[in-house]
Amino acid sequence: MAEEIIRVENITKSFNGVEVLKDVSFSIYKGEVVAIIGASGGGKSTLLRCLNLLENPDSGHISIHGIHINDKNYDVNKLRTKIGMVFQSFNLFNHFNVLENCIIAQMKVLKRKRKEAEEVARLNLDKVGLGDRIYFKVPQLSGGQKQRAAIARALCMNPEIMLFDEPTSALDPEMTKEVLNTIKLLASEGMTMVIVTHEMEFANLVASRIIKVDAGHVKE
Amino acid sequence: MSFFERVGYLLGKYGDLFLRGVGVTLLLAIAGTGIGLILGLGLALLRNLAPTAQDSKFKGTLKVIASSLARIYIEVFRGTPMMVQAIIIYFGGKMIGIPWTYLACGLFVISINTTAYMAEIIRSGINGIDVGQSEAARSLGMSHLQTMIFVIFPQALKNAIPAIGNEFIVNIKDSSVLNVITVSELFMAAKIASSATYFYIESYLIIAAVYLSLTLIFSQLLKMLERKLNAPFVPKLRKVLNG
Repeated sequence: MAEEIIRVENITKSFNGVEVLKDVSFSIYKGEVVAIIGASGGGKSTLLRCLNLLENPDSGHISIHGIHINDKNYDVNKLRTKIGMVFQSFNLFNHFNVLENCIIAQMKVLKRKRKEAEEVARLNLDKVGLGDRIYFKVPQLSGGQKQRAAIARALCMNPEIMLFDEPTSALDPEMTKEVLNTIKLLASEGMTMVIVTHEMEFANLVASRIIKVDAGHVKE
Repeated sequence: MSFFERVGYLLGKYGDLFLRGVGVTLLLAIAGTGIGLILGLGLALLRNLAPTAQDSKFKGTLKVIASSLARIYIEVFRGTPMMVQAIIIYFGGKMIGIPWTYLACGLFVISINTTAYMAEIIRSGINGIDVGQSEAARSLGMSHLQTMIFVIFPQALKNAIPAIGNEFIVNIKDSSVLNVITVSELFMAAKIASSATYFYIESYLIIAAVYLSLTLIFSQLLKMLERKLNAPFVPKLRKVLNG
């Protein structure tokens, strides 16, 4: 078996007394593409957001390479550079252009020089097919372009694993295709990915494993 | 003397005094708003601190204390008249041996008073930014402070520009209360001129006209700034072609 990257052990999470995740456990191995599917409101996104601690589980453990990350005093920021995240609503920084979106965290978090950061950004923007859009402001991009820019932004941090939170739910079919093709490209390069999605066809096609979240429980 | 002769007489005899008054009023308003804005950013940052699940007990407690202190500061300075603050701070300062001039104290008072208002203006600007922006920044490994400085503040400030400009206009007018510690701004000039000549209506009509001119000019300038910032984005075509 490949190297285990993330192990989730018995995590639970409640919001206002409603138990969203109930005693959830699973592991993710290097090179896997895991699709998380399930009904809306079933805890899929919450589960994904627990993996980089945007949500903190109420109990249980999450470990990355065997280190418990949801303990107090764990350096979450360092962890997050290793875990790229792509959101349903893109969340590109609206006051920056595409290139600036991709270099800000490289410079401030990884302390890369501007020149190096720009090189990395151009490389990743080329990869997602936005090489000719690097000076565009966010409002000038189509939805599909925004999402691909967001993917490039996450890739610039050289993450070990990428999390996608319903990356195509806000897009029309044409743009969905653009984004799914980009994700397929990453899969072909061996990137480890966890994707929350409603696209069953896509999940069956790309995912090496499908996890079903149903009423807070996980079924493989 | 007719009304206009009295106005002419005042302008002739006290013109310099009024002019200096305008200078001091503008100095108070501009410096007060500028300093208030910078300190207000910091205060808003403190006010918004909240412990997270990763924080140790110590760090969490510190955050709660800092946030509470910021809140107390804001409530106290927004909840008491600047006139009263000026007197307490001026004489209180003298009592503990601060050798400040009236003007220096006036600048200090208007700055720290504006800070409280600015903190709330900026906080509402911050709250108006979609939470996805900070989640995206945090997911890239940026710290809370980095997220604030590079992602949230620039957007919040842009949204808050109308309110910040309004605060500046208010400061042009409200700096007049600093006459209570005899800062020689515009109101003080009218006070001096009127008590020397007994031309009360005329003196105060003059400064009313000046205040109105100042606020009209600056509100027009602010409108132009807002329009410029909200202008539809024109692509930097040359850059696109070269890049």
